[in-house]
Amino acid sequence: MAQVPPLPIGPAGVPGAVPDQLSVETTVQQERDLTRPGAKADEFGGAPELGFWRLAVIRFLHHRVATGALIILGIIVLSAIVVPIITGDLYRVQDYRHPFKPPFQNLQHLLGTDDLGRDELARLLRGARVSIMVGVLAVVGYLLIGGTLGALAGYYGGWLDNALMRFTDIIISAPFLLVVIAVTAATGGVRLTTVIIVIAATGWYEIGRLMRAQFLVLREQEFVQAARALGASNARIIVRHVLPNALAPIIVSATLGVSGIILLEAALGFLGYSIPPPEPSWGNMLQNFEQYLLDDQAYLVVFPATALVITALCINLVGDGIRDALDPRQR
Amino acid sequence: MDGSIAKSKRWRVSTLAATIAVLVAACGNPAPSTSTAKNGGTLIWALDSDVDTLNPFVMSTVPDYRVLSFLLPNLYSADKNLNIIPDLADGMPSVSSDSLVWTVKLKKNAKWSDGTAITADDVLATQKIQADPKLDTDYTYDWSKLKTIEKVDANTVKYTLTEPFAPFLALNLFGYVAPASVYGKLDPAKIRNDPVSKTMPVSGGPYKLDKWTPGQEFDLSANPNYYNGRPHYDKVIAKVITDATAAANALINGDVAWHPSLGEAGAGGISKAKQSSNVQVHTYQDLGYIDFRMNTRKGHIFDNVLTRQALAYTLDKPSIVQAATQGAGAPLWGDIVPASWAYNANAVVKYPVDVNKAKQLMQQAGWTIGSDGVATRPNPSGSGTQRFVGKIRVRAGKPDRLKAAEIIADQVKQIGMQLTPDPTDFKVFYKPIQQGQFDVFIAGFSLYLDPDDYTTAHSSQLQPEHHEGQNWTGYSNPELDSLIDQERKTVKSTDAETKAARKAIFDKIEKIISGDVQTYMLWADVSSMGWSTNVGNVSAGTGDNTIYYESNNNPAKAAEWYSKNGK
Repeated sequence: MAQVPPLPIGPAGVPGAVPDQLSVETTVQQERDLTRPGAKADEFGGAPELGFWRLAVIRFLHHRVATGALIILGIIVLSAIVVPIITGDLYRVQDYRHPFKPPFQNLQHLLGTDDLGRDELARLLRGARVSIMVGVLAVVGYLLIGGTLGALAGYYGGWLDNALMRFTDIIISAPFLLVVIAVTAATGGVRLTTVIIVIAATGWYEIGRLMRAQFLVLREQEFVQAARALGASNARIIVRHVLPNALAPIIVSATLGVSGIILLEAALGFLGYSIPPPEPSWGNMLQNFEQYLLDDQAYLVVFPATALVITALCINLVGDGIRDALDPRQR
Repeated sequence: MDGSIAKSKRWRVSTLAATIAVLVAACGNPAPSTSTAKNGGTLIWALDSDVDTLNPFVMSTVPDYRVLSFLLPNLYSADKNLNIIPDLADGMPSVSSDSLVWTVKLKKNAKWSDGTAITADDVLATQKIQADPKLDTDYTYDWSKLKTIEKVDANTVKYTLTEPFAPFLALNLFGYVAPASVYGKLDPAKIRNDPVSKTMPVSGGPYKLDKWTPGQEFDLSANPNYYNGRPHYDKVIAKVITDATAAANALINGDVAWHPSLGEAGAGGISKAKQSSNVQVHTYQDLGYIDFRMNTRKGHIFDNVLTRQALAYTLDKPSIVQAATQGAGAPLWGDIVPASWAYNANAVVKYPVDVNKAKQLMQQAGWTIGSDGVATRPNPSGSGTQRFVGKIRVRAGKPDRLKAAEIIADQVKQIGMQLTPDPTDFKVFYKPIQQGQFDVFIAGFSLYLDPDDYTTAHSSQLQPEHHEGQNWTGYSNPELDSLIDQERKTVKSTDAETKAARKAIFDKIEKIISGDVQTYMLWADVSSMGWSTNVGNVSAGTGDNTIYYESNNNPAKAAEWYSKNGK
């Protein structure tokens, strides 16, 4: 390695990151390596300092509750992905003349069967797929829309910032349910893609504002000014210098967003605006079986409700863990 | 009078799906003075939702009419077998030999709560407002067959019709009479927002209004001038309890003494109420049905009678109805429900389950089941092939209908029909149907007292082909049309003779509707009401599922109810 220290933000294009979190003693070389996301310590011969992301992982793993939540979440996600592949159409096989087999009575229907004699466990896992898919895809939508608009507003400021923030105000005041009903009506029926698009299109503002706030702060930082002085284009500065530094709070917000969306999807499903039958989602399972809440068939409500609460709780705990891990100042 | 929306059937708007639109006050028969009945006490009952208006002309929902039924008299009411009986009227109407002139006499002693007499002027004022095309209301009054209405003397009204019209008694003469002194001077076009809509200054039913606390309760007290004699309860309080399950619990705990929409609490709520020793539950056939209505227009998947019959041969209706309604529905084949006097279980064509026969019919209709299990045929409108793929439109938030849709969709796969349930909010449910843009929809209809199915089956009522009407299926059959025309014109000198003559025609109509599967009927509503055992003289049906409880159409039966413990 060359001994001549390169510029902090060199033409090699190594992204700078979180300079204020680094100790002043670190050499510029170390700083460069350290701040590269995903850099491995042994790449530069057992450097005494660990990378930011690596540190974050370690911090996260020390957070026992968050780690536990992550494991449970992993099991849920994994079984939601794998089990329906094995069981195939089981979730929609009806035996409507013999419905309501109680749970924990035989292995064939471990969680019993529903009002049409369909296997509750298969439906629960199939529903998990829907819920998690909606959560993840809608958050991707949040990130794409909110991230882009927030970054542009924060970085460029001026009239663009003004325009985008007023647009954000409009989105914030959009009546979500009415939008769902209107879009559903206009597109000729309930569809999952519609739900995802509407959630993403109306819910991105939080991430948008967060992103803007980050960019407002970061664009004034020395390393950004340095990059600018060296003639880096705006696009390059945004993507390679500012964005990586803005990510930490965004990741936390996005994670928490997933649980919010899963609950939102359940609420929509409860109102009949999620995926159409026979596809199950936790929301429409709750809706269909609400009437049995006080009956012997209450298990039909209890299972999806429990699944919903556990999943949302785990995601929130993981989100908390990530926040603690990414933001040492909070400790 | 009353008039349920449109000519005989109304789109079911209220969540209280299972109840008929029209109730109205004032008892048909003088309260029988049973030795045990005593005066005193307060009847507290559960009203399913707050009332929008106290103006009888504007009312359109079941809760509205439930309250109104305590306050205004009926010209004619219905008994527990849904036979029409005189209330304010003195005897059944007399009909001229050409069936065009109907004459109604009124009871002579009847008085409003302010002590003034109820006369022909009140009847005239009420019905003129109802017949006014400018009347601003959500209810559709149909007085189109009326030519003139005249006051013969203070207690006699004469109606002249443009043509013989059998439903006139049930459609027009049945229902409330409002005081001319209050409503007679109002402009029908502005009646909705008149301040009087928020109150009921003069009543003529068994009770009068003391106070209305919007969103909470109605306080009524006995009307001492009631022409059938003072009702037994001193006071009646209608409490707004929108959640049917909460109301069922209130009934079980003794907080309310009458829960008219107990059926809305579901099978679980009903059985809990039945188990309680404080509660008497009556389950009865209601005037409403749910059906699977196919678009039979050319080019649509169900355009051939053979495909509709194939569907009928595939479905095991009784077990589907049981699974979907948990007992709150009775399997139905024709569009006349068991609660109606015109119902005849033997007049209809009932398709047994025979999947092979169904497959043959599909073939005969030109459909071939492909390798992917979906039937196809040469595209009737152009080149290529048409696949038997469609959506079942069903209202969101109606689990019983959705369940039926899911079972049907699953069952008909075996004969190559790929139907997908499509739950849709009520706000947007109706429009594509009115435009003829649908494959199938599952709908609920609340029926009028008269079994006439002109609006849903006659080809003059096709929508969108004609301006209005509720024949959305596109089904048109000249033979059926002429039978319906005939049935509507059959008027004899007495109600019983008219019914007998019409019933023979209805049998033929039902045979065509069920045989051609004009619509695939699913079930007739079965509803439940609950009373505290402390309420005496509750003369509901003698057996479950057999009799329509009379208080819906003759709610001043409630004037006969009394409190056994006097509280």
